[in-house]
Amino acid sequence: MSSPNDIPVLTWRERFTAFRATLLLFAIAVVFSLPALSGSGRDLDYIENLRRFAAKFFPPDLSILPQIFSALGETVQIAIMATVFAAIVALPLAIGGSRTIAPRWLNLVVRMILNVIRTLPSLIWALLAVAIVGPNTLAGVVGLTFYSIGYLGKFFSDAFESIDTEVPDGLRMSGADAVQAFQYGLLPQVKPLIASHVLWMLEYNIRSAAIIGYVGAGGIGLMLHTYQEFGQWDRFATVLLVILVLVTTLDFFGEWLRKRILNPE
Amino acid sequence: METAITATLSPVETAVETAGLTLERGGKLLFEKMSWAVPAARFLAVTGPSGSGKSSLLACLRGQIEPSAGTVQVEPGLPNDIGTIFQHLRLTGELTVLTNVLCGSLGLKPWWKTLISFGKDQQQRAYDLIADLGLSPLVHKPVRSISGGEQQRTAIARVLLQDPPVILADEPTSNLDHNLAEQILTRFRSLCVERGKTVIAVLHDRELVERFADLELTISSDLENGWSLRTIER
Repeated sequence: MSSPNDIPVLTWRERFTAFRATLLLFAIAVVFSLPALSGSGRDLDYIENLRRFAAKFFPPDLSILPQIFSALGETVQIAIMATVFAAIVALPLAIGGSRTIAPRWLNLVVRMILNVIRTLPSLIWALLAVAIVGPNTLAGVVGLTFYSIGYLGKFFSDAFESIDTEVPDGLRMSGADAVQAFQYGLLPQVKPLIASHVLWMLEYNIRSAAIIGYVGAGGIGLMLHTYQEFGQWDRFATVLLVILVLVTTLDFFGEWLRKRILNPE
Repeated sequence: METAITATLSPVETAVETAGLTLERGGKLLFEKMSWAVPAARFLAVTGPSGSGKSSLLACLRGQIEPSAGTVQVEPGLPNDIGTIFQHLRLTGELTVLTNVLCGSLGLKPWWKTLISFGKDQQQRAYDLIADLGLSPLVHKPVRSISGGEQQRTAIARVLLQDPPVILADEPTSNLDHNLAEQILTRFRSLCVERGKTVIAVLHDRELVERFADLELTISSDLENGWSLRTIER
């Protein structure tokens, strides 16, 4: 028998929050996924395999550094061009996809297009581009451009929806037309976010551009593919090292720059 | 309390008029049957306790919200003819004081003429207003980096650059010290007297109301129909 002074007890339904439900679902999913750990079924010495394979990487062949830097330049060029083209295309798409700016029917159409684009990974976009423009850097640019449009379009749309619409509305009430209200009331608020997203996309594209060479889309990935095909693991290791240094540097620099863009004071 | 209606105020042309205006917000009746007219070149102070409906009245006058009943008439009635100093200012924080003030002139030009720049003359006019309001050292500062009072003066400069026949100001001096508030209201008063502008401002300071306004519209649930209008003798 409970008295009015007792702590009220929650029913199991009240305690079964969305978080706990997700945790339960995840636990069930883990159990169902256990067969993925079965491997080939052969009795292999994984550690010995790893030791033998890793040994082939050392010492890395640094004599190919000049070629790597040239290919790396190509990779960065691919990433820069793809990011620029994607940002240019994504901006108007994002305006159409933003509920605070465009009509609902246009939001749905644009968001569906962006979702479809994002469904395909960059490697598939690169494969398609290689089939269309041949195995060269242009294929890399085309492939990564499409891939990035899907992401930047969504990021920009979300940015437009996250800002204070009172400011552009206020300008409209004082006689500004729709373009002026957008340019002076809305765009300045999202500019730092847009710049930050573009920078993130550029970092991401440099990483992707290093891989899409595998399918013939130019850049440093092509070298990775070649050295793997010929079993030149010491050279393969040098390429990996250079990619590692580049990506780490980009990470630090990108984060530093993004912080300054988003918090200028 | 004396309640004066239109015709007794002045024979000159009417700038802002309400007829049978009734406003409900969130299921609460703020005021009803509000009928008054403010002739051009007058300063109307709107007073009343918090939540009584002063800001809602201003929103209704500029056509932002629909009245529950009645009509509002603002002459001549184009969007650029009403300048507003919003309670929350609605400045673009990322833009400089200068650009925010220049935004007051957006309605005067089509978008392709303001796409790159506002023009030298307009910039000079904006700077003169900024200097008049004591903001010249901050002219190139982003608005989000300046104080609340400075932001309020920026919003005032913006509406002064817009130079509309009717100014609606929602607590335009709330962040200003007494001297600055006096300076701003003196300016509004001279806009009325010397340039025939009509100012409708929400004010809380009784002394300022008595010194600067020609009319006082009080909105309060304690009053009959929720409102009363009186003429201030000067």
